[in-house]
Amino acid sequence: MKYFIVLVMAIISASWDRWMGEFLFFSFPIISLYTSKFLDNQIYKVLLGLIFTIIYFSTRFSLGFFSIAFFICYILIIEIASFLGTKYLSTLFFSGALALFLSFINYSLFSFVSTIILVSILYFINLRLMFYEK
Amino acid sequence: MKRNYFLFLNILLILVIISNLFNPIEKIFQWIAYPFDYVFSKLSFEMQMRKSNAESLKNILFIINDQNILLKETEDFQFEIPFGIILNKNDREILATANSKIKKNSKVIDENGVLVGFVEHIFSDRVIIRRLGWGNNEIFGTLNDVDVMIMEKSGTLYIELPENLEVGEDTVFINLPYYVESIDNKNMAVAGKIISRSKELFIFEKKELESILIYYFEE
Repeated sequence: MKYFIVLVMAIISASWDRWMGEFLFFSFPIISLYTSKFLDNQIYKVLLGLIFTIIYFSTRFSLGFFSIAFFICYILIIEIASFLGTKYLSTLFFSGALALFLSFINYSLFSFVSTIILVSILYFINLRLMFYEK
Repeated sequence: MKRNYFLFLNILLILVIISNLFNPIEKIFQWIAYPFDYVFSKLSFEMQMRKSNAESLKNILFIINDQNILLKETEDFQFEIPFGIILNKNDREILATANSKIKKNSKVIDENGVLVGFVEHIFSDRVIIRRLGWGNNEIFGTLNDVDVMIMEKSGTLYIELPENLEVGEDTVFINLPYYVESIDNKNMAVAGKIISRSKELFIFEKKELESILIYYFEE
């Protein structure tokens, strides 16, 4: 069941980023932030990144060097973020690095800024309560 | 636990290599996200109308939907040309509208008769056009009454000129023999400059797209 949820979430976020990412915000940094904290098994996190890179890059651009670079970046960020924990600045680093990569490819700095604003709002509304239960 | 990383990285590497060898495999992945693409393309269509005046653009689209360019009309045969407006340009693909039903892989030309690209995806009235150069087509054209072959490969156009044919530095029009007299007696053509040469092939830089109106031609 969890595999199915991961698959559908990856497809939805890839499709959103393809059409709306340039104009509004990138959904993948936010979705991967939620899944990286709540899906305990490592396979789910990596599978989410893999399906996203395959579908997003094959539809928007073409599967090539940048898709491999994005996947390696995603793996490194997961590893670094597991040491940092779930504080505010570490969540900003996690989603900001992914959003910077995506906005660099799409030539739109606006969606990078809007993604970071959205994450910081979500942290104080929703994520902090889930992590620390207070 | 680190083994998972390398397993999935290997899967991605193999997929990248296979998809670069056989390009049509990328189209399979596009079908997976089709239902979500259908919804989000409508959303982004509404977003991009806000760039220009949305109300007037909606009126124009409403007027366009009823009008058709009729070329020939007989008792049981009607030949029309569907047309549309460009909304967003990218260096690889174009998002545009269409006023009536069109088929896949139909040719797209602009106001001056210059070939823009080929239709790749259709989401009801929204059309994605693959730009010339990004496909795998080979087209034949004529330049000064001599046959010329045009090839597209990963973003660049190559043309095969016969020997002893001199071309100036101005923009070159290569006529395509598909629709002999298209709109306003202008032939369908590929326009641009010849930049440099690699072995037997000449590299061809196509002209920038200027017009907003585009026409769709089916084969």
